[in-house]
Amino acid sequence: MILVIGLTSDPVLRYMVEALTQRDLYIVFIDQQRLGHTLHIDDEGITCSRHQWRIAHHDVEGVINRMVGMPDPKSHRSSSHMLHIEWLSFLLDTTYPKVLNRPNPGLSNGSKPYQLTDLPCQTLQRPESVVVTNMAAPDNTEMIFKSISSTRSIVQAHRNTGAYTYEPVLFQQCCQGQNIRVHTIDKTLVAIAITSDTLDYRYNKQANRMSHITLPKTIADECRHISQYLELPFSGIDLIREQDRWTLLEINPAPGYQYFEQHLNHTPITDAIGDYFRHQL
Amino acid sequence: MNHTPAPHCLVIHAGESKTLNILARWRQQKRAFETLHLRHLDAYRFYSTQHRDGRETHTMQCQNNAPVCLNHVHGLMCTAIHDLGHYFQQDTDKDTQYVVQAWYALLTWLSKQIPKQIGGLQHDQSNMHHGQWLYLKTYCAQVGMATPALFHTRHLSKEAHNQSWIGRHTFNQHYDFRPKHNPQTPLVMAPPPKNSTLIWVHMLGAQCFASTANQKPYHLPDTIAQQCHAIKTLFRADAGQFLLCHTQGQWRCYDFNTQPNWTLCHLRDAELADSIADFMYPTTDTTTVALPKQIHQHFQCAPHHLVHHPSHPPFIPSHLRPDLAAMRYACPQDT
Repeated sequence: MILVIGLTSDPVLRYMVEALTQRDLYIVFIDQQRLGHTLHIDDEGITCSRHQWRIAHHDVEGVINRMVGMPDPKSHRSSSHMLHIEWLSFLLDTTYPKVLNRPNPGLSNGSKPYQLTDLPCQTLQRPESVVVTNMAAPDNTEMIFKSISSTRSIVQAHRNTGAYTYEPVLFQQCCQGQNIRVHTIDKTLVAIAITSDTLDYRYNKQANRMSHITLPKTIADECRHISQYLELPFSGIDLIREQDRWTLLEINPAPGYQYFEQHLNHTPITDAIGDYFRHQL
Repeated sequence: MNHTPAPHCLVIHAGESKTLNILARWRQQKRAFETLHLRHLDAYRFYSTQHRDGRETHTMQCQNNAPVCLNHVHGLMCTAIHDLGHYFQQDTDKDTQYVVQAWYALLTWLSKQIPKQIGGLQHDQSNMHHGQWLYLKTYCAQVGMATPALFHTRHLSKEAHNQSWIGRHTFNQHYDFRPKHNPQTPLVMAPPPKNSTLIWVHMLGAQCFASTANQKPYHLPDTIAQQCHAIKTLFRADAGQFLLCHTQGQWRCYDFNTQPNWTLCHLRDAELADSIADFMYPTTDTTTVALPKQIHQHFQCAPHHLVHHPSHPPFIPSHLRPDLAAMRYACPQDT
C-alpha cells in the first residue's frame, strides 16, 4: 500500500495518483486538510471516520509526500490539525519506508544559498551569488534576481541597479545557456533540455521546446550523489549548460514533473516512480 | 586596504535581559562579538556572496557602525529565533510572511558555517522539528531515559483540565505551569508526579549545569548527565536545556530545548557569561580582516540613514511571487 499525502487541489498529485493507479499500485490518498478532522492518527495506524477505513502503520510500504504549507493557527480546529501534521511528519521522517520525500531533508530548499553550501560538487559549479539586504542592489546588470527562500518567485533580469532592497534578495550571475531539468528517482535519472524564449521557462506564454538528453557520466554521477547527500531520493535538479560548463541552480524536493511529461507525451518519471515502489513490494 | 572588525561571536536575540547582561559582561572583557536584534531587522544591512568555488563572505552593518566581516565567527548564540517564527505564524499578511521567510533563509545560510552554536538554526536541529516531543520520546527510549506519558490537550477530560500540568507548546518550547489553559491551543501536557523534584540541566558542550526549580545548584548523577549528553547528540545539538523530573529514584525527561532559557540556570550572570564564552570563543585571536574593495565601496555608497518603514514594498513584488492557486500558465508546481 502506497500513501499519497497532500492537497486535493495539487495538480501534480492528481496526475501522480491517476498515473500510478493505472500501474496497478494500491494507492491511498491522505488529504492533509482532513488530518485531525476526519483523519486521525494513533500509535497503531490511521483511521478515516468519514469513509470508515483504517490503515495500520506497518502495512504502509511506501509514501509520496507532497504536504505543503502550514495550518492556519487562527483556525478553531487548528490544535488537533497541527498535532496530526506533526505526528505524520514524524512518521514520514522516522517510521515509514520508501518515502518520496521525507519532510526534514526537504527543508534544505528553504534557503537557496544554504542548500548550495557544502554540496559535494566536482564538475558542477555554483552560480556567483550575492544576497543584499537594506541596501542598494548590486551594481551589475548581468545578474538575475529571485527569492532567497522557498517562496516561489519568477526569475527576472536585474536592470535597475539603483533599486533598494528592504528584505534579503538573491542576485545571481545570469547564465546564458540551456536549461536542463534532471529528475532523480532513486538511482534512475531522467534529464530534459528546455529551450525557451523567456528567462524563466516556467512562465513562458508560448510553448517551450523540450527533449530528452543523456547526461555526461560525470554530471549524472554528481546528480545522483547530490540527491543522496541531501537525502532526497526524488528530486528535480535545475542545471544550466553553457558549452562545457554546467551550473547547478537548485534542487527541488517536490518536483512538479507532470509539466514535463505532459509536454513530452511520455512518462519515464512516472514509470521510474512506479518501479521504485514495485521493486519493494 | 580597508580593515573591518571580524567578531568571534554573533548573538541573535530579542532584547531579553539575561542575554543583555551576558553581552554587558563581554563588553567589559572587550570580547569581539556582534549582535543582531530580531525586532529591529530593518537596522541591519547585509552583503553576502557565494562564489563558484564554494567560498563565501558575509558582511553586516548595523546603522552607522562600521561594516563587520562575519567570516570568522566561531560561535553563534540564538536566543529567540521563534520570535521570528511566531511573528510569521501570527501575521497572515503575505508580504510579511515573505519578508520573514527571506530573513530566516539568510540567517540559516549564515549560520551553516559557524562551528559552535547555541540555539542553532539548522533545519535538522530539534527546535525546527515539527513534533519535537515525538523525537524526544524516541531518543530518550534509545538511551534508556524514561519520559512521562504525554497527552495532547484534545485528549484530556474536563476534570484533567483543572489539574496542575506541565505543558509545552508543540511548535516552540515554552513552559507553562498553570492550572488551566485554553484547550484549543496546541499544548502537550504531562502530569508531574507527587513529591517530585524538577531539575533544569543546561549543557554547553561538555559543561553541565544542573539547577533546582528555585535556581540552586544541584548535583546531577553522572549516569543521568551522560544520558542527557547522548540525547543532545541525537538532536545534533552542541548545547541545550533539559527539564528532568526526579522522584523516588526514577528520572524522567520532560523536555529538551536547543534554545535554553538562561533565567532557569543557577549560574550568576558573570559565571554564565564566562561559561558561554568558554564554549563559543575560539582560541586564536583575529579581530580585524581586510574587506574586499567592491564590498567596501557598496557599503560606502549606502545612505547613512536607514529610512525603512513597514509600508515599503518588498523588492520582489507580490505579482512575481505567484501562489499555486493564482498561476495563469501551466507550469511546474515546485515547492
